[in-house]
Amino acid sequence: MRQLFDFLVYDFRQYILLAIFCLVSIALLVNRDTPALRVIRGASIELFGAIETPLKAWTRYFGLREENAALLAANVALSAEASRMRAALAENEKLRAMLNCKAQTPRKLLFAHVVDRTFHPERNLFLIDAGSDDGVEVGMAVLTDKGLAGRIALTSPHFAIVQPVINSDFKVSVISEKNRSLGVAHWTGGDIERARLLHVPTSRKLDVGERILTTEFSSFANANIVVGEVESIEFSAQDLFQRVVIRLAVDFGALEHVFVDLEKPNAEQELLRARYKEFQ
Amino acid sequence: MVGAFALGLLQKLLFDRLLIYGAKPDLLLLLTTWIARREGQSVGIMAGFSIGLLMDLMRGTLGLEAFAKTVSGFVAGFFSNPDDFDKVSNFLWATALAAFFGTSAYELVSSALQTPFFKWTLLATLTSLYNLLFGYAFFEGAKRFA
Repeated sequence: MRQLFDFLVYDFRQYILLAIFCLVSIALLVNRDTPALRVIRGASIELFGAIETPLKAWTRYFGLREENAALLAANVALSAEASRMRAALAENEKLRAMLNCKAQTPRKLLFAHVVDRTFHPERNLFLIDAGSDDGVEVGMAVLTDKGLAGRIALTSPHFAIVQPVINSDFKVSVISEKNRSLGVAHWTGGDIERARLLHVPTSRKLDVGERILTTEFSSFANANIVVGEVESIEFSAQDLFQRVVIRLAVDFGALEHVFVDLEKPNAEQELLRARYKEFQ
Repeated sequence: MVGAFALGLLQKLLFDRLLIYGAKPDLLLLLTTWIARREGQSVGIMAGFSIGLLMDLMRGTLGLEAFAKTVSGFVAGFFSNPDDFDKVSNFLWATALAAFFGTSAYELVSSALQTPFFKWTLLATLTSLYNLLFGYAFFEGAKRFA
């Protein structure tokens, strides 16, 4: 017995250690979303976020000139669009009144800075300086003025981790604006400006340049948030689905500010979906 | 551990941004390699796990970096011959192999073994080569501090 113990401890020690630490790592990875480990992860992003925020702050002042020019251009474009929207809104209200539709409340958006970014060829993450104390919850949509940026994956009191559209674990149900073709937007790695539109049957019509919006039945995002626009469509006679590339609306290479959509989609629908999963 | 924390911050704020085709220089891999060569394979494994876990906590993920750095520490530990400790070529070989196997472990576990063979071998090879450039500077710097 003693010999066996010595044999294992002295001759195979490193292999046993390797096995133990690999198993512990995988156990942590698999159970990372359990409540206890979520608390630990939340506490760690709170701590490291607080350390990194002042270190990161100085980088915000670089490129302010370009940002101001871009904001000015956006302001001009938005002013013109606002005029058109006001006219459309008046007409829309008149038509809604005729159809007896419920009025839609404006969204509650929370402004946040991107204080850190985890770079990875497939699994990018962002850290923002708004957390559960500001009303941010896991699953809320994250937007910019251009469109959908991602969703909240983890929160601590003052920070939150965002799983952006450019993360291969991220998927969102979408609909084309003009032809109303449904699909799923999914980024598969590589180019941060483009994603795929999956599950669009070849029988459905889709146009290049058409905008792609979130649907009514997304589990985290409200409807009609721009995700991107169709850049190219390919399919052959024997294909079931079209191969669609969309150009993402948000420029993830220069993402510095975001808005968290504090209005989650209908919670009752989510509860019903969760209960249905229990039946399955 | 203080050194690992400082290098971790430097990694996140600067070196993570030096991506070339998905490969990036990894200061904590170089630190793990240094420790594993100096202290041996067992300590290298434990150091790799601890350093990886620290990086996981800094990134808000859990387990992935710890797994990859554990593998890197194990691989680098094969180069822990005291007679070769001052040889830069020995350190660079250890770095290249630790980076290759660590990156492979990371890619395969993070994608649940779904990453295509060509893709992860290419990324692991690029990461190895990229880290060799920084490995030389790290080795010379660490020799002065050690």
